[in-house]
Amino acid sequence: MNKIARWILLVLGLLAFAYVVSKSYRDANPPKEVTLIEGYVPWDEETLLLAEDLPVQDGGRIKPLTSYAGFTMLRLYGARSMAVRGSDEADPIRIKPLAWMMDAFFRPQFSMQQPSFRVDNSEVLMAIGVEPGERRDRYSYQDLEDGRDRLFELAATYGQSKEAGDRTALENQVMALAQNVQSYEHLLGVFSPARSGIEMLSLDPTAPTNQRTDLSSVMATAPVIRDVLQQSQGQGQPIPTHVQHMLQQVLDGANSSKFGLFLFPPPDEEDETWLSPGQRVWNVMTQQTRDVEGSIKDIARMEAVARVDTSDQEEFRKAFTTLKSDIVEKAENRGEYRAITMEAAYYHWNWFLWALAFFLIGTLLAIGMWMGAGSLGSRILGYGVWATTLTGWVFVVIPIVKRCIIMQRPPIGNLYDTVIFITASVILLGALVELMTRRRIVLGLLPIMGTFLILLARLFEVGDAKDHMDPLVAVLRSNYWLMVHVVTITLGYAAGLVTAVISMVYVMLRGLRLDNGDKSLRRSLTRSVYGMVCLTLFLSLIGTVLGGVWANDSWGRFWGWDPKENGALLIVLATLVILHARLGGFLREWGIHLASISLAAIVIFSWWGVNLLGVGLHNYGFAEGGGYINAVYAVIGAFILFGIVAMIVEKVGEANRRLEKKPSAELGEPTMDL
Amino acid sequence: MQRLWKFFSGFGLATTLLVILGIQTWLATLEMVDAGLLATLQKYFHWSSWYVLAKAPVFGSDLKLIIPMPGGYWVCALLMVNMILGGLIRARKGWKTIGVLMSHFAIIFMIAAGGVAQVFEKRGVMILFEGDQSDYAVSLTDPTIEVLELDGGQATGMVTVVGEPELRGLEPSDVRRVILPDQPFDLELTGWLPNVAVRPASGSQSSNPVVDGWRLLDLPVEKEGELNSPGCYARAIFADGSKGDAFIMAVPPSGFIKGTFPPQVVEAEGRRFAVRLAKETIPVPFPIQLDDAIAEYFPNSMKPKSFMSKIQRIEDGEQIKVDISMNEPMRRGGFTFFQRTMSGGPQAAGAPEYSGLEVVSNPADKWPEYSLYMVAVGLFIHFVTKLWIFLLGSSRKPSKA
Repeated sequence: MNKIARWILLVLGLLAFAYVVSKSYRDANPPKEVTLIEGYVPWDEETLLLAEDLPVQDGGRIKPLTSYAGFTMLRLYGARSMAVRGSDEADPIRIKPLAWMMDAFFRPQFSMQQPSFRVDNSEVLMAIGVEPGERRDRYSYQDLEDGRDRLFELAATYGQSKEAGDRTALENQVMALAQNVQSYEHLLGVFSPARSGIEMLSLDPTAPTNQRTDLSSVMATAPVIRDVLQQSQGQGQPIPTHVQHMLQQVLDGANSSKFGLFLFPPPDEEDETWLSPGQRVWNVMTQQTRDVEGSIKDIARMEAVARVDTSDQEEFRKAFTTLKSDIVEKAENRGEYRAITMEAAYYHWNWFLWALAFFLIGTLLAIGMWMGAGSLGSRILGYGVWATTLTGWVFVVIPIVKRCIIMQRPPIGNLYDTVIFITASVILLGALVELMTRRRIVLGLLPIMGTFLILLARLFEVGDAKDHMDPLVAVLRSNYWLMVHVVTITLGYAAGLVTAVISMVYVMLRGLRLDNGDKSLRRSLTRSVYGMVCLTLFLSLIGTVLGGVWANDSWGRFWGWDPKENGALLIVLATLVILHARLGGFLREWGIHLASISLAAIVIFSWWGVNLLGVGLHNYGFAEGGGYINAVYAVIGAFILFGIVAMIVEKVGEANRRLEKKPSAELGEPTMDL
Repeated sequence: MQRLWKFFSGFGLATTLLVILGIQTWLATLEMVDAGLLATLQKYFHWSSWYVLAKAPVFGSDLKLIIPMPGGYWVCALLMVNMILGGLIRARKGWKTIGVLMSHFAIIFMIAAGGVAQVFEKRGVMILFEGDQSDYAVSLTDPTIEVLELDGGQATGMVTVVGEPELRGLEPSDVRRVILPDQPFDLELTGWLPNVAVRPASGSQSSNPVVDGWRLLDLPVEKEGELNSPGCYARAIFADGSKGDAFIMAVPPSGFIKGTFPPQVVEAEGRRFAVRLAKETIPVPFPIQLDDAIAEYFPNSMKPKSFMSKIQRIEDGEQIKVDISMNEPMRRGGFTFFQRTMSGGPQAAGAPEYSGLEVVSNPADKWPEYSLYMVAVGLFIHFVTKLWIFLLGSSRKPSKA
């Protein structure tokens, strides 16, 4: 019976694990379809390496181009890679964010065919008069082009006529798509005027064709152009047609390259605002900069890059290097290139993917370890679980440290940060419990928890599509408080989760009698849970009160009944209930574990649930995903229900056994002891 | 007696109260999404709420179950009694329990801080434009009635203030007599509404009574309680019991909207009095002058980077320069000044700049911090002792069986 139960549990566990992993993978990755783009060739790896650490300003900070590309692609496309092929026979090519953005900048003819826009509701397309594909599908700019004007018209109407909270889901989706299309057009526009140049109308009406000239050359003649304009205005005459034609193109070019990329450090050392190519052009033409020469040189370097035939990658790299080295030098002189290469390498290495791989291997080893419990093989596998789990942990800790160096702040400032920090903390706390108990029960849980949490981080990053290394808003900019309050409270979440997971295992082991009635093992797990409840209380209570002290310094009140504060208080109250009920004798072994499992629901509510309420001052973590959270609540509920049923079955069995042993005259009512 | 003592100092009561408090906190958190923070707090945790009809969600549906529960304030009060009796007096005293005793004492101290704050705290906002000076703040939520004698159109004598406790709990159907100490008349209030605007009778669609061509227009009650401007109808009740004509009183709307309803004049015993309903004025013991309101945003974004008010505190003719910013309040004279709001944004360049300082007077301001140190040390001692005992225990080794 015991063996059968163990195998059934293994199969069910593996199925559940495989389902969650595959579901998370599907949600976080692009579809399998490969888009045909005739003539498409990938960028050289060397070119991409050269471009990845080009500094740009976005989200209020200086970051490498690869970061900017990554989160822009996530926002528009909903994944970090897409597959295309250059011909029917060619192998698929995976386009990653940097290559995708380089295409938008330098090869718009290919870019506009890429399915860059994820549309989750086909009704959006019907609303703008475009033939939809699947209900949730991806579309290229060319696919959407016919409905572009209608899209912007609808978005403007919804934006003006309704408050954000009053809009329907469809209206919000229309507005989001319009915003994405606009962002994409801004990207297309960055190098567009540099590439196309300016058409100069010939003064000789009989000339067969008009000449084209560089935008930078036109910028160099800005004083002459201004003189012509002043003369025309002074004499009350219209601006000459050829000048008007030229100025209109300059204006259009400046506008199209004004928002897509803030590429140039400002000439003024005190000024923090980097300039886009469009601003560079506009400032020269309107005499708003003293750095005329520098501006013209910048645009000339852009023209040199934009006009290289990208099929000659070596030539392209030469021109790109000239543009980049000047920007890098300026950024270095301003002290703004400090962590750019580190950040580019951070995304290049994909640390969390490696961590996930180690945790997955650790999970498989852990299953083997548990299945062969008591054997030599199990012990050897145990060492394997330790090795893979700790390696995975290192692959989580290193990027967390790197993020701290890049952001120059403590590790947690938003919801994404909490996920990866909790991953590291759960492994660490669990490892400490294992070292104290040495039962290899908690050890096996660690890579499983690691896998789930890394998948959660990945899922959240894709869904949120925001750069979580961007600077924090004014009220959160306090390294002291971020360190002492946020880290403490997040450690409290981690401790609470470890507690609950140990209890889940206890309930399964005892409920299915997989522990062979080993009371020592049960007692050991119960003591571990009791200790972890104490630790959860300590961290949550201290963290909550520290948060109150911070709130008192920031908002003038110690306690504001903000949902996030309430969530932390709920964890404190739950742990206090468990400890007091235990001390009062109201909770015994079953009871403490069932209560501890419910602690997981409270931690999840505090960590994720309150963010879905959409109210409160802790606005660093509003998120979507109520369905996932409800699924987690349901799983927790199922464990509690199973535990209650198992407890009743066990108690009834014990009572029956006592009945069988004792003469009927001595019988009393069977008691139910939690 | 022994049984009562055991009951009030026992783990059973502690556990029950903690469970109730937890459920209430959870339900209040969910309810504030629809009802707003202030209304939810009044309902669940105000001392005047002896019981609560809490709304519990039903998993997977929009239905709400109504669950009667004791009021949160009184649950906390009972918990405090339980902690004093059980966690301090009845608890074993010794080096093994010193951590627990310290923690209980610290939590009692913290709850006491909350109680003191609820009774004595004053909270208002002081809005200053650059160059302006002020020595008072205006309460965010509490309405008061102010009565001031007039002499030839000028104010004379002290202002009589009827505080928020006298007005608390007023409903539209209530008729309440408000005593004005030292004045020759009292006020009778009717038709109290939590959020109103005063509008000319012609053109406004409302069934509320018309007084002198004006009427109160009901506005939806805002979730953020500070945005509500209450109003009512009032009439004077003179010493001989006779009543004067009805008039309208309404709190001026928040923000900088012009055209607020002026104070009303009551004549009694040959004297004239101005009467108005307004958010409570909180005097500050020194004037504050705003020199510069500095709002910084991250470059090429709308994300706020820092808000700072450069002010001068004027005390005894001396001007002391102080910077108040996010997370860096100014504490002085029993008041704390926090950076609350700031004008504009990156797009509002050239607009007049102002700063809103939240002014708080709370005698228990720092108590939670002190209790934090105590509870941290207490729990640390207790749990480290427990951990030590655990590590020495035999359960860490697997049984041979």
